[in-house]
Amino acid sequence: MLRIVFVLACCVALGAPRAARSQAPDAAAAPGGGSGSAAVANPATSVIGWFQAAAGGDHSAQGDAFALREAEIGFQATVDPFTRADFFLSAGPEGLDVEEGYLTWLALPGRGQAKIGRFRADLGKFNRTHPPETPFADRPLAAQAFLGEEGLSTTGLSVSALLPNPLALYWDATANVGVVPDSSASPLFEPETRSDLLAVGRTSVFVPLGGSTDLDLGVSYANAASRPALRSEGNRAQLAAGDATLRWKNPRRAIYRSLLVQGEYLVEQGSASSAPRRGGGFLYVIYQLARQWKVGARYDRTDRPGGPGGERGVLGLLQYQPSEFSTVSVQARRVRGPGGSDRDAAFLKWTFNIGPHGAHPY
Amino acid sequence: MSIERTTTDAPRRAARGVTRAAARAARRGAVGLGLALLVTAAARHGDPLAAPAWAAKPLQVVATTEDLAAIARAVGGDRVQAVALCKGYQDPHFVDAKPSFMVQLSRADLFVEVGRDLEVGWAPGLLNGARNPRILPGAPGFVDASAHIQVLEVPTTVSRTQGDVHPFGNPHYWLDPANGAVMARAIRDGLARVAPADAARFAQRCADFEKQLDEASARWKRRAADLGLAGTKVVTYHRSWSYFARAFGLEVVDFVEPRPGIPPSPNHVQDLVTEMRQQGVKLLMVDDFFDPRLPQKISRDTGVPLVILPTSVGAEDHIVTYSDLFDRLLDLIGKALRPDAKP
Repeated sequence: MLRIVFVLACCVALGAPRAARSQAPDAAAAPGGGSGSAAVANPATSVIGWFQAAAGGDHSAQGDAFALREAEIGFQATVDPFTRADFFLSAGPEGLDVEEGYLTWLALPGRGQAKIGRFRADLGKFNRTHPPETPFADRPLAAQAFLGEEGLSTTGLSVSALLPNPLALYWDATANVGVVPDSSASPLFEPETRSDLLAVGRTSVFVPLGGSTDLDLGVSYANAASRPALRSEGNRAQLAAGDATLRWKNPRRAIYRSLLVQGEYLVEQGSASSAPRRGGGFLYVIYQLARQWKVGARYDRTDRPGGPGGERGVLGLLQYQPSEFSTVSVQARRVRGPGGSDRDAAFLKWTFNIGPHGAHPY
Repeated sequence: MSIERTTTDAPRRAARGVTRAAARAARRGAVGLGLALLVTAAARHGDPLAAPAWAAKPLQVVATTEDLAAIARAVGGDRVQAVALCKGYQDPHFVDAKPSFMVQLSRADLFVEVGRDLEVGWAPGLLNGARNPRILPGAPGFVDASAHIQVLEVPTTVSRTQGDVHPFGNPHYWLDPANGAVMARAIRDGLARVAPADAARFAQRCADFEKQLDEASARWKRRAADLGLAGTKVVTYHRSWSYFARAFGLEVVDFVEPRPGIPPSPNHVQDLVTEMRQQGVKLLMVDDFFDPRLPQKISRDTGVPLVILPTSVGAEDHIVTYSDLFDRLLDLIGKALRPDAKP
């Protein structure tokens, strides 16, 4: 009875609202006339290309000297006055995959939103960023160790809400429920039955620190059936993460100088009372020193789930932007394994985009 | 009650009783919460765009620029509280879509944008995250201030070979004071949609604003004539000044940016310097949010005076109204063209 009431209530809350009243001409009517109808009817289509060259003895990030790592194809549009759809297809050496494809209800009661489909889980902040759009030629060691080489994604439902607070800060809470990624995609999780679901929760707060500086703090938690290799530590694997992002930008010279500092720390532990705790994290800084130039550095440290020892890594990068639509960087990375052995790699990463691509979350 | 029960059963019976009571309370609470959700959903579905019960409070207007916010205050008077997401000293093309803006937008009754894709890099994401159906495109609380503007420089073909060109025309139309009235009417109509009881008040204030603007425009035209702006050749950094040039008779002959959004190369700068000398350019106009070092060098190389100009209300502390902006622009241009003239 309880479940029936809840399911019914949620279905009604999320169901199609009545059509919005519109007492005025469409204020967003297609400007320009002429071929505007096609432009309005078709989704915004974009492609982000990610070309990368690699050198050095460490082949873990990229085996080939040159690779078109990914072509991310985006289709984004409003569906109706209440929802929008976003699809991101990832075409790469392994084939074509739906990286994300979801329908979002934009405004629900209680300043809520919901989405259904396939999406990157709200576990930490970095996980939400598509690989071509990160500053790096690889993913941080801890992100790979605990979230998988491509990050943690799921297919299911996500709900979020803006939480009221006396300081009128942006404070949100998000919950994801979806299928558990299999062990080929996740180092921690493996579904046993269809009812095994991945649950992820995240809350974050955005704190403006004056006109030039902002701080974003988040805490996340994920829980799902553990993969067989980790079952001795409990049937469920748990992953908690804390993330912090500090941004500085002179608003009067916004295109010339900026500073980004971001760090995340993840802790994994099985559900058994005797399960060991493993952790890892990363911290990186990107400083824009001129309109088209940025420098950056990243430090990684991580344990390995289900295995001994851990890894440390450092990465440095120099980035140049010929235009808003193209970015090239040279990067050098050193990873030190459990035995103290070092693996070095150098990269040239070039990303370029065509078509309108929606802005990414700040 | 069975005589076989012993005293050791009492704590267990009590614990079971507490547990059952807690479970009953939890079920009642859950059912109540579920019913509350149903009622809330039904109420919202009854009219998702209905003005909230606190409609007597000032209308919350969130505009993308300070110019629009200033005009909203002029038209709305004490019935509105207007804020701008992009400050007057910021480049409106490049505003970070901060989550804190979503909080402001979540409470807005009216959202006003410049449009023509000026804010395409940041405003849509903010609206999508604001969870406010009243201000989404097509809703009564959404205002595109460009809807009835006669837009300049609408490209016949659009390609990134042209740089970061605006496909729907030049969006910097607020820099022609004649467009101030058009923007005011768009805001007036938006306010009337969300607060129809005050429509007459907004209409009167809009008419007053237009009258004041007309009187100020006559003053500015006289000032422009005194300065001999008609036919004066200028170079600007970005294509921000097309409307201003049309309004005051300036002739824009070239740009420091070879194409919109493309930083100037040394070759382009050299060609520009030559052209400025050959064409008799009288003024180099640069928006205040661009790095002035290269324009300063161009000015030194050519002998053409450089003027750093605010592009919006709020760019400087004393530019508070839309009219203040043009007073300041003509003042700065006048001083640049006639540095020795008495104030």
